[in-house]
Amino acid sequence: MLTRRTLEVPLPERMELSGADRELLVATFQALVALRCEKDRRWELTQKQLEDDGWKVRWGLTWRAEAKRGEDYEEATGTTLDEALAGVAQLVRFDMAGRGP
Amino acid sequence: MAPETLALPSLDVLRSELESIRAAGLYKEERYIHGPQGTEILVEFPAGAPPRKVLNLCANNYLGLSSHPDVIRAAHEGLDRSGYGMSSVRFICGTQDIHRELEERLSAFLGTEATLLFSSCLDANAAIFEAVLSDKDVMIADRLVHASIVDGMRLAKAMTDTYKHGDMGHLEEKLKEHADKRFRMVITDGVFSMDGDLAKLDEIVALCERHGAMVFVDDSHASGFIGKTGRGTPERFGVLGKIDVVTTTFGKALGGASGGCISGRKEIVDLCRQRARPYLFSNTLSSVIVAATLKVLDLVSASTARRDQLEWNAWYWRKLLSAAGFDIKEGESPIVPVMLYNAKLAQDVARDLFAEGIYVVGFFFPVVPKGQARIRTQLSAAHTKEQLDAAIGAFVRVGRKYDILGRTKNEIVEKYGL
Repeated sequence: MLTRRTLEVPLPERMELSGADRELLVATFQALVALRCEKDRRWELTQKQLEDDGWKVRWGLTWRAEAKRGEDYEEATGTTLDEALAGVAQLVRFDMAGRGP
Repeated sequence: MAPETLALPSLDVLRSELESIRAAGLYKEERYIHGPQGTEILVEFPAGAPPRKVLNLCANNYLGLSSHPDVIRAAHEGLDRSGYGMSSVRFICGTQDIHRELEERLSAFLGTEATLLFSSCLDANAAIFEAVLSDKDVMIADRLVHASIVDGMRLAKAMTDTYKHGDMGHLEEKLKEHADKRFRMVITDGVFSMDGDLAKLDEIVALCERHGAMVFVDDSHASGFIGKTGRGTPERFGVLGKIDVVTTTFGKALGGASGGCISGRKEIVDLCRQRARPYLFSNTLSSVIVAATLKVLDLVSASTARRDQLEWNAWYWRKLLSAAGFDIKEGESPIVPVMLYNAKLAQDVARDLFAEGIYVVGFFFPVVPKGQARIRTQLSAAHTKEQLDAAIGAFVRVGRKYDILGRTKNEIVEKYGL
């Protein structure tokens, strides 16, 4: 039977968690847990195969932003939240402008 | 033996999407033209209806060369001399002497160092950014650039950024913001296809020279007729030879069939010859189009009569529309949008004009921004004054029917909504 285990982190007095703070904390811990416990740690094998084929592999966590309106969809990634959202904003601006042949 | 039961995927989702497009009034229907392209054409619309003769005010046949007898003769001769197909990509056994000749002629015509042919300008725009730029670079595009440029930018690993349409102050901010990048490439159309306005290339080049950035211009709606000798927007703004990359099409003024090119700095073109995927993985132009395009270059280099006539036609047509009380976008190109703002109104006016014997198309969202519906009229050097006089008569009759003559934008919007 699975036992739910949690980690408590005491916050400094008067510190209010914003939505972004909460998202960051959840994502960070999810990443840690995934790296440690991911089934078969298949990613290690994938990485090794790529390196055996001569690829120099680098990986890391990144921000991902997406925007959806009706059937229009855009997404972008970035090393900062600002970069990811700016990327989406640029793509959306193109689509909003309207296009003709 | 019993036939095997096939589990075919259901296409209900696609049917539903098609229905949505129809319900939104955005379903595109082709109109069948019987015979060659020209100012007067036989159009079958709706499908199955008897073809009727209409005046064509919506083609990109700016110089009237699409069915020019000299061009057709050159195409026949090219076919006889060089054969039909090459059955190979360029770098294996698909390059003929006439491909080299056309590339050299285009470089001379456009005032550039080198040129590479593509099956279309869409292919050229899809190829260039991915081939030349890397993740160390940034592409800074005018927000109204052509859809094929947007697609090309999406294929590249370089960072994407934009500046407000025609806003040089905003462009300079962006050039400063990205000063740390290896290459900054400023990307613009020469003539913007929906409004017909021109990029301020003299100011863009000055800014790029000051900041050490590259300039890219898609001159598809300009090559052959903008500028005193038709060399395009770089000639119009006195910056011939200062543009790093020009892309253009042979599918509009330069014969109107298909094909396009990347033309510019030798190193950029050479790199595209090594890396551009549409060049590496598909055949190039057939001898028919190459020979015809060479003839077109002969014609436009020998005389400015056609581009001069086109300039006059555009001026005259603008004058007629303004005098009649239509709300038009001012400008100097042969693209003259008649603003109607409301999508249904644009469709209704286009339909009534067709009934009057005038072939135009209503454009509305998502082809143009919401609330900017219009009819885009396009002039040709082959239009006669008599044809334009007849066309304005039809426009006035339809304009009166909808009570839009002499009305401001606000009055039209008040009556028909956005």
